[in-house]
Amino acid sequence: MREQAECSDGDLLRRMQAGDEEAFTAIYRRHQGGIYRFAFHMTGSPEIAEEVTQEVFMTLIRHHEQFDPLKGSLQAFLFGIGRNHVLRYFERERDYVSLDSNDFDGSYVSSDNLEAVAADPLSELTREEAATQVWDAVMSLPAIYREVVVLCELQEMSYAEAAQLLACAVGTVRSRLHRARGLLLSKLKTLRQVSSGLNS
Amino acid sequence: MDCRLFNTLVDDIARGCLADEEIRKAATNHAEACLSCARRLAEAERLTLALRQFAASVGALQAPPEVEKTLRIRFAQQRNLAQWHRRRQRLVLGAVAAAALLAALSVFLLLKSGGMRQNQPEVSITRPIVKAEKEMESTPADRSLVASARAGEKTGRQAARANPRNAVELEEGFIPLPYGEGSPAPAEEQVIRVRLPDSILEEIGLPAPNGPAARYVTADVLLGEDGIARAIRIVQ
Repeated sequence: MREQAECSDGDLLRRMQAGDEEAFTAIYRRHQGGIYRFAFHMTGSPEIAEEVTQEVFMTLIRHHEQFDPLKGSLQAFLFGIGRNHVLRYFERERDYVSLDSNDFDGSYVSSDNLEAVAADPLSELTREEAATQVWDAVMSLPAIYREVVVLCELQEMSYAEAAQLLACAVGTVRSRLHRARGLLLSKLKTLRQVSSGLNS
Repeated sequence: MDCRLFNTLVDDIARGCLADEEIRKAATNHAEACLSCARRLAEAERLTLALRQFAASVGALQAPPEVEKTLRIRFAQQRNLAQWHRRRQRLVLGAVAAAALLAALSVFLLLKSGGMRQNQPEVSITRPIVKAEKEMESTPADRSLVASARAGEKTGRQAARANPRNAVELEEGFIPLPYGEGSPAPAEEQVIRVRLPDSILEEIGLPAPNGPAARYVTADVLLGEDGIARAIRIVQ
């Protein structure tokens, strides 16, 4: 497995296509964390994140021939599939903010949702107020802004990588992130005011 | 640098992704001179720090191990399915190739046998002709011949034998063959349809039609009961 950890995605994919299960496992272990976290941060649901992660790799198993290394990296390919699944989830869940919405309407997934996943490592994190506030602020963003925050801030992707994944211009990513950060600041200010009011 | 331009760059500065050193310096100088922009930069830096701390704290989040287990099972199933498809595809391709080979062989054999047959004249018997006396009365000359034969010592058949050409000429379009002349007129004759190479026409003294040498002609041949061809009629 150590040898496989050193292999490039392309080599692993070729071996996977030839039926090498260990190569598939190496690809999975390399990319599952990022996809799971992306789906989790986007949906706020560990169950959905798990489902999305599974679907992404099932797609890779069934349709690996659709991956074209000339069009982008395997990571971008997998994130693209994950993003499509997340968008489908949003379509199903009409309660969520419209993807086309550019206005911050204050609707968000509450941090109460996090407490429902007590077995999740994140539940440890939510005990810390700051982390909870950031989480709440991120989840309060409209999906179109949330995804750039998740990709560029939480997944630490460059503007170019995020732009490739979102199939938009680098400038669009940059401007969305600028707007998203403004919204986050507003939300965090509000949350701190509420928090300090409760503490006093 | 003014506040408006600074505001567009503040997030890049706070995130540390402003590559241009000169612009970064100009922005920093502006922030030192402008209180509101300095506050804006400080906020942006705090937000970046908070997001990074949050990202670091959730960085260990992984999909549950059951997902990997399930996917490995699915991968093995898919691989087996793909192998089965490949085997089936190979079988189908083999069967198709065998069928194509068989068809090609059949066509070849058919053509070969057809070609052998083409070298031989095709023969088909169309209808028998019985040269009864009644039939021989169909023309006035024959009627008179038969009548005179009946009236005289000769029978109709003898009369016909006396003039075999008459029997032959009863069938329209027939050309008497040279070696058929002089042979005794048969009581029963048969017309057979044949396909002949046109070269045969020249052999029997008939003009060959124009065209390639390999052309064939269809003809009716009048055969006597002795098997000797007496006349020929070109059909096509």
